[in-house]
Amino acid sequence: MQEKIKNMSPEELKEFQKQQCIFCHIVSGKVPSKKIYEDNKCIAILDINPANIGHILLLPKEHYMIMPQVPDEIMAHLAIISKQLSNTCLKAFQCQGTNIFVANGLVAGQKAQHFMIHVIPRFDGDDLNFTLPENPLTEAQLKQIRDMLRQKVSALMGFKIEEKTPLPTQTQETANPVEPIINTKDEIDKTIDKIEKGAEETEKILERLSGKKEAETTPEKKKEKANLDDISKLFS
Amino acid sequence: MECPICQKLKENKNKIYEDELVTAFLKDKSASPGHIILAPKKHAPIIENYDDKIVSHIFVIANKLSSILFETLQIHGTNILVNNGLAAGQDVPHFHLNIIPRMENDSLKLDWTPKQLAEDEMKTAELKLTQFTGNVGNAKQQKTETIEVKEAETIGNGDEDEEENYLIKHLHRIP
Repeated sequence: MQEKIKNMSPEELKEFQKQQCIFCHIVSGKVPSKKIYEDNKCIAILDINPANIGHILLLPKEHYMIMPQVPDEIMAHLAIISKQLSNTCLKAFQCQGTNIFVANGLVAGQKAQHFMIHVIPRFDGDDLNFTLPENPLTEAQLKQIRDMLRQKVSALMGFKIEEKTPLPTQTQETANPVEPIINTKDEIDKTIDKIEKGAEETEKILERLSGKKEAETTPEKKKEKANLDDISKLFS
Repeated sequence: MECPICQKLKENKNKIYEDELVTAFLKDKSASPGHIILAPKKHAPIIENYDDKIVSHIFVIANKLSSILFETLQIHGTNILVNNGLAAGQDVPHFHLNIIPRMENDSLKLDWTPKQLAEDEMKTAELKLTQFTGNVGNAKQQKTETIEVKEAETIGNGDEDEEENYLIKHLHRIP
């Protein structure tokens, strides 16, 4: 069997993977599922072993094993549908939030060989926890990672930081100057309440909290060579 | 006095990427080294407040940044996480994506114990959700029109244009 796989062309291999993939069988209808939404690009089904009631799996119909394989056009579509499904959960279950979650790679918790986005309804006091830990990095560690990433971003995405000039802060979307400060719980809860009652969001921010000012250090001008060993040590 | 993310978006410190719509920066109190926060420049608390253009763009950029993390830090996986609402663990009232590098045996725990729900609970969940999925998808269509769109699609496969008006699709059916 292994030899057979080795000798397969990319198309044959893809076809083989599809045949082994239970989610492709769900897409084709061979395996039953509780379908929530479907269009020509994707399908949303209920997870049969959910994290919470209403846990949705949003899958592209095409078989992509991992996220980098998903074309931008499909990713864009999945993003929009995720947002709409999150909204659907808020309305359907009157829940207090949702998590949108992607596990990319086995170590990240990817359980199936078919890319998917999880949309999980959240309720106050439920037994799920997606609160992220906070492990402060030293300035030197941050700089090392930052410089390495900036280099790659510049090469692959065409973006480079201009240290000297302040960057534009306005987008064309906002007519008014940015003036948010909010009471965390109130604003989020209010917004969710409004969605659930079907009301339009027209309120402006009511309260301002004084924020914590971060001390800024002057960026170092010397370039340091990246050392991958240093980086991998950070993970242990 | 601004929201912490709005403030961060204006600084160059730890900024990794920026365009018209979104900005990405390294989180200093990270879940793991290389933890990126990717947020729209426009301030709003939850994903539902944003239009499709921003939402689709931010996920496309997240995909690219995730690949860059793989290449740069030689990691084994990434998580994309949106905490949408306080109950979901949202800590800052400005919608953002977390792009979290993962390594084997790292100390991060981003999983759950799968629940076994009874068939009728699952059925109820399905019914509740499908009541509201009329608004999901290309066109904000009424429930009665959904059937027509589906029939049109089975006739004209492969040629679908995302932006094509569903009414026009329906016209294609006329013999």
